[in-house]
Amino acid sequence: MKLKRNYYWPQKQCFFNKTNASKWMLMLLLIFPLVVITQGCIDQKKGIKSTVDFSGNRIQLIVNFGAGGSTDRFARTLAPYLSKYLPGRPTVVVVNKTGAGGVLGASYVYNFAKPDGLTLCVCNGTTMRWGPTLDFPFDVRRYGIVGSTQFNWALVVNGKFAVNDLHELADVDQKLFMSANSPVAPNPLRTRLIMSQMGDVQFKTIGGFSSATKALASVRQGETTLTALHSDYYLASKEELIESQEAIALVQFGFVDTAAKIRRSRNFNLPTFREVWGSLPESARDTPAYKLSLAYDYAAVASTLFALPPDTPENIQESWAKALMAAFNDVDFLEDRKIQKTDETIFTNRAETVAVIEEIRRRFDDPEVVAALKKFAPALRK
Amino acid sequence: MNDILHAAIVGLSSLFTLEVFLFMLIGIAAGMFLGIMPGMGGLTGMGLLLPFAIGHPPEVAFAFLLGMYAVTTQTDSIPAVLIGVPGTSAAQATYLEGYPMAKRGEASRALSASYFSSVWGTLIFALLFLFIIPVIRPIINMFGAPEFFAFAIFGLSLAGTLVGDNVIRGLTIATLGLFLATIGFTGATGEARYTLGFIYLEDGLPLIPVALGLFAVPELINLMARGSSIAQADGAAVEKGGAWRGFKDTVNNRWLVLRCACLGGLSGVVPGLGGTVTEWLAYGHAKNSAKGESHFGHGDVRGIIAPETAGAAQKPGALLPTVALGIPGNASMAILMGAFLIVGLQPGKEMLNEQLPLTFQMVWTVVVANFVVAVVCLLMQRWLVKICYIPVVILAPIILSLMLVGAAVNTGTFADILVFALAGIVGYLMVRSGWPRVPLIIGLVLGPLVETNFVITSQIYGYSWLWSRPIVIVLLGLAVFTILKSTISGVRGKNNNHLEIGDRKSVNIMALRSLSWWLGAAIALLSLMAIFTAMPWEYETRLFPVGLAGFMFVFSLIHNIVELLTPPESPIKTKETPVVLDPPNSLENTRRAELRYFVWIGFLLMTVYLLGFIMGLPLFTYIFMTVHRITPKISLPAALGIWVFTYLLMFRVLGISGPDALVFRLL
Repeated sequence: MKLKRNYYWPQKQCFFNKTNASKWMLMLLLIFPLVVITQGCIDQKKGIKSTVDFSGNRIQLIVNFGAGGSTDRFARTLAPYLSKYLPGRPTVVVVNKTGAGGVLGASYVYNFAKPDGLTLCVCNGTTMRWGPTLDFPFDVRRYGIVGSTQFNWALVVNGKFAVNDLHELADVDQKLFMSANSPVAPNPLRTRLIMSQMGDVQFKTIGGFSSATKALASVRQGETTLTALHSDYYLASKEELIESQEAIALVQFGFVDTAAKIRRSRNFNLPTFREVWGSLPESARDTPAYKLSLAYDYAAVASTLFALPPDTPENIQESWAKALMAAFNDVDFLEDRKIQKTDETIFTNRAETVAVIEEIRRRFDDPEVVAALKKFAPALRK
Repeated sequence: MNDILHAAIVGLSSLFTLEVFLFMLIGIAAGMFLGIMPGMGGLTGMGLLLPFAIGHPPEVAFAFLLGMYAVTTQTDSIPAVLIGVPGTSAAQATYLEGYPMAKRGEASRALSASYFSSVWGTLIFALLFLFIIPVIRPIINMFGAPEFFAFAIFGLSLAGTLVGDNVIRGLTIATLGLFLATIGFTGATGEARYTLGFIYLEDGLPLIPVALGLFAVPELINLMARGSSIAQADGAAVEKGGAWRGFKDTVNNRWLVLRCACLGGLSGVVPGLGGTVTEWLAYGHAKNSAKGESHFGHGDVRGIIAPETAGAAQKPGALLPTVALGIPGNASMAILMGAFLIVGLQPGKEMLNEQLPLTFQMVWTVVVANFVVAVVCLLMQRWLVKICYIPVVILAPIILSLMLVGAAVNTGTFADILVFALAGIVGYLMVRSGWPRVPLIIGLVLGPLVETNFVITSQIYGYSWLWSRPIVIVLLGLAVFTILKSTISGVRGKNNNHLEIGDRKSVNIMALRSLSWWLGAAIALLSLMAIFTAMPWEYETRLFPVGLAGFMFVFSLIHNIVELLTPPESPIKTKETPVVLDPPNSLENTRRAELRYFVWIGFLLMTVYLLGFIMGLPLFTYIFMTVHRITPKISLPAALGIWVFTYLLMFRVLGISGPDALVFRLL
């Protein structure tokens, strides 16, 4: 096939020999940026006016983990309820910005999103990483924090061990391997901390399992001994695990309140890590390892932050805080979560979350905790 | 068995109820688009379309999602074959043979072979599905870290056959690929390696921007410098009967199809085994087992059939553990499992008993969707292949825009685009100096699989896994056999190892000895820097990168010594004639033209950095075309089309906006 010659300008004409069409185009090119810039200015003004109204706007919930995962499912379930309770009933969409264990998405909202209330980070795990890491790329306290929620975790052990609790597992005369994404990830580290106080246990965390599925598969096969599973995932797989007898859950991390008290989930009756710590000799609770474990417990209260970009105006933050509170209390939202067979849905309000974050900083800066981190997770303190 | 057959029939019939079928068609249409779009593919599609599926009954939601998912690897071969843009990892192997075929006017045959390979792949594995259900759990449990590691080694041994005529260069580049895969957090200790302080690099180098830059940029630059259309048989009629020939190719290579369907299906069933690795394995297998005349690297249809069949068979394969055990076969299936939970379904036993018809409906969806797309694409083929005949000055800005959007799908930041641009420069230099690019990608793909599983294996099993696990023994045996076979045939002079397209022309036409030497020196320097940087790290953190850097240093040193010792008069020998016609202009003019188009790409990056995708890409398209004297009758609709694509489709519908424009950040 040959192209017709009229696809091109006649030979002598070029860019600067303008025809009417190109003049129009040039004018459009000049006008278009002006229109967009003006629109941008108007939008920005909208953001800082005293009455918050998101009508006609498109709100982005930035989820810092991948689509289909527990955080993502949670955010997608929440999105329509946020839309319902935000002033002006805007459209709320979920956008996944993944990478670097959730830091990339959190960092995007921190550094690049405009403080106009149109972008909210559903930042899972951010406080858990910010607290212990020496050179975290930003200060979580500067976000426009509007609340937080937390997820529970279960410690799942290979079925062949036929043990009833963590003490029995520790007594097994065999090296124990925990499959995890990284040995310095919060939950493997919390497990290692408690194991370090259970006598002469041979325990090693094997990192490199890129997903919970792979970590669990390794436990089911008997390749590794145990892994920590998000309780939503655990509850979804519970029947299958029980039936196959390939893996059993022994302990849960539990739900923490703002006074750092931990309680069991209503959905599965397993002892919490704190209870296991309580069953250890008194001396075990007078160690840097225990203090570090407590700091992690505290970080878990606000493990999933609802964060607006820094410098977001107060009135916008307030509107978001109210909308979140209302969404979390909506019976339909709770029913939706129930249908999905997920674990409990906990909400910590704005003021309490801000206080918790300050407390997290204080606890992780404790010299004893720092010493424990240097010992158990040197990679975090480099 | 009767129950299973009954469920299979019920599943098939439920697919043809009006609502389900309609949603499947919508899903297919979305999947076709996502497949064609560089950087998208099934995984991104699942994430983007999941919200649209919520709120529908399960049979409708899954028909929609799986209709989309099933066809993305079918249509991703369209840009790979027609415009040389391997936009998804699955399309990279197809591109190697498909694009040269398009260049010689056989696009229709290549595409047809690709569609029908996908149909056969899914169909064969869907039939095997029935027999695998009872043994799914033992199969999955047979694969632990040692098996994954052995599988990766087997993959590397096959990749060894793709290193090209200049083995030392191939080895250097393959090691470089493996080394680059060590960038980011290491699972063994949680330490970051070679991230240079960038959060972006903590997850390692992203595959899609690297592959797009490495393969598509040099091709496009070369194409623009030559100023012709993609199909070099310029003016020749579109091949007649190409679709039929493509179909016949799949039938004539039925045993290859069967083997690759089994390979793909199995790697789909075993979580973590599938993905790009399988497609490269299938490609390597096709090349290694090729009998008769071989044109690998220059457009051999077997190099399309193998990866396409394996890639397609993975899909019903990955579905199986997801529905049967609640163990997602791959990342896309993890999202599908999310959909299960959202609609209140429980993967597992229930799906193989009460919900078995729904399970079968899912499998049928994958098969039927592939068939529908094959038919639709064949009907559209006549028009599609004409893309190859459009002058490059019209096509180039559109391709560049698509590539940039595709590259930025990874994280949506400008860092993706920078990686793409850097990979483009490296790819161009490699082409110009005759270094092969395929081993780099294979190294990048296999690197994490090799290192992670080696570390896990050595920590848990010590060395006992080498002799106590039958699958490991078989896979390592196959790897040794493959290496021996290649070596022996190499010694006998029957080695069919060829460089991939792009490299050959460079070797004969514009290889620059000095450039090649400098590239070798740069790799040697990089190796030394890598070793010194890694010295303070923990043993487990530095083991792989230091080892690889050491090999890289030795290989690059040998390469450079050989280069110095080779008399300058004798060019690097190759066995085949170049497939790319000599450029019409002199070498000097071509180089100048190529440099000019690099400046254009730089201008594009600057425009996007300042104005973002939505404004920057249409503006660039218009300016590029206008400067190249394209009439506004074409440039205006093209710019408008790009705007509609970036703003309405990508941003408004799919929520992908790309990097933030500097102008708007400053406002």
